Amino acid sequence: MQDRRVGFVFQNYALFKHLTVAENIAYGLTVRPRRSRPSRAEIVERAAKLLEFVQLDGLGGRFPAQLSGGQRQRVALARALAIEPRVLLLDEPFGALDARVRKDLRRWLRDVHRQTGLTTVFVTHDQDEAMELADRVVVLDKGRIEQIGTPDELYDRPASPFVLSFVGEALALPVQVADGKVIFDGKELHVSAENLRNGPARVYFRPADIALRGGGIGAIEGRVEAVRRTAAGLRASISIPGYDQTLEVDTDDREGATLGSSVPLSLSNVRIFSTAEETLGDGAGI
Amino acid sequence: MADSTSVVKKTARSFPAPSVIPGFAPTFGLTILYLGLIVLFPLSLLVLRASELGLSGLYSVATEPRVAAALRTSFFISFAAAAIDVVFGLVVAWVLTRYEFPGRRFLDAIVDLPFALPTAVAGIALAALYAPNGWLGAPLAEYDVKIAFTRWGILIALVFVGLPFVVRTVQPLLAEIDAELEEASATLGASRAQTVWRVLLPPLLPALLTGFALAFARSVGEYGSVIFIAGNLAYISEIAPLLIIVKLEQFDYAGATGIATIMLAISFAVLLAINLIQAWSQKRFGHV
Repeated sequence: MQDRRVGFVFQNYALFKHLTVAENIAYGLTVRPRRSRPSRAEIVERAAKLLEFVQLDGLGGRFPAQLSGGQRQRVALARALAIEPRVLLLDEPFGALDARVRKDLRRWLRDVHRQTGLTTVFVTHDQDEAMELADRVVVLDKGRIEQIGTPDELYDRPASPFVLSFVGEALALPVQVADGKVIFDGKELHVSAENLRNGPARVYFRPADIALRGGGIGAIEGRVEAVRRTAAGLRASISIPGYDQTLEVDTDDREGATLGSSVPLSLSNVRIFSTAEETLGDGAGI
Repeated sequence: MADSTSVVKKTARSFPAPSVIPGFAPTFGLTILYLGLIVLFPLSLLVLRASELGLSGLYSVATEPRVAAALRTSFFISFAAAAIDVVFGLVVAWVLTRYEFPGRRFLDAIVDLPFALPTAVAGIALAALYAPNGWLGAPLAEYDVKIAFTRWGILIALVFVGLPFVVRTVQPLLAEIDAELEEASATLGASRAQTVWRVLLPPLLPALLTGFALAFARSVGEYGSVIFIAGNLAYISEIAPLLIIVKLEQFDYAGATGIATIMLAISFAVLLAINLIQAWSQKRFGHV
């Protein structure tokens, strides 16, 4: 690991508690063999520069226990940067921090990345974090790579139901595939299912892609269970016979969304995956 | 109920800035009572008895050549034994906490045996082992190395009784060390030795000092295990506690308590010094 010059930042900081912040940052330099070790003055100076870089100037004399979580993680990053790594590996670095600090540090880390230009591998289970920070995202499920792609590709062309429901909210409608036709509740949906085997499948769609009007991929009827006023318009809770989840649909159609009435639903941008083996079939809704 | 709370409050307020945690007054009172009855009362009787000698008497006891030699033997060898225990106790604790191997729990239990064994038994066993005709003594005698009935014998006995103190004080801290600290050190380019020396050992220093102090205190007062192996030659391998017994047998109670008082004073000074170093190291290395 040390030979490959990988800077490592741990989830729980792993700072040396008996060393001051400055000593922590300088550690990687002070353990170098004598001939490649910078002079004492140079080490002090570089630690001070890094402290400034992570916006902790003046805190070099403190001990890690005297810092907040966010500050500690910045010290850890400075410590990793001190060895001038070729690659930076961040293992869930913000996992132990609260939501607000996470957001701030995320933005800050993007600046750091821009300034250093270091190739950075960022491990996280927070998909927002991944989507916001990464140029390329690798989605892993149970140790298997599900998809590698840019955030755009992951959103627009998810390779599996796992990716689809992982990178954003998704709803799934259970359907049957028979000879290239997709049947929901006895009615055919206009979704192409060319590559799919006969049998059970699921039609996936995002909440934003539901609208209260006819057409779309087929005649799906829903019942308006509740209507609430929101700032922009109305939010209707709609149940579909044969489907156990309630859909939340934002609409400004006051007449369509009357309580207890049946409404036609249109779904767009749907994707269909066979339940048995999760193969991909593309279906573009209208 | 209301009465007793108000009493507590009043008592607590008369101390300078007691902690906000409730219960200070009753627990502090119990602490003083307990320490007073169990520790200070007997010791003060000792000092009282020794005071019959007066300061000049005490001085003449301390400078009596045989007594001075015994005190030197006791304290120097105890110090050396505690130092050896720190090194090997750390190694033993290290092995017992950081590695999984068959028989680990068994070895762990063995560490406490010096606590449990009557020290005289330990002394007799060690003496038999290291005597010139013993299992270890015989081969060593061939090389002209004598252990039993010399100062080396005292050292071995004291190392034996002091070991568990160091192991047991260091063990919990060792168990707490986060594996990530070692990994972090390695990713920053440190060698294994640097990691051990600069990351793992410094936080253990306070515990090592505590272990040292306990082992040292125990060694200074140790009697049973030493007298069997020491040979008890005046001026050479005679320890101070033995001299106390000798004086008692001669009904020289003042002399015996005199030696005891001197031992007490030296022990207290040494332990206080260790405590001060420890407080400093706690400040330096004990940040949680």
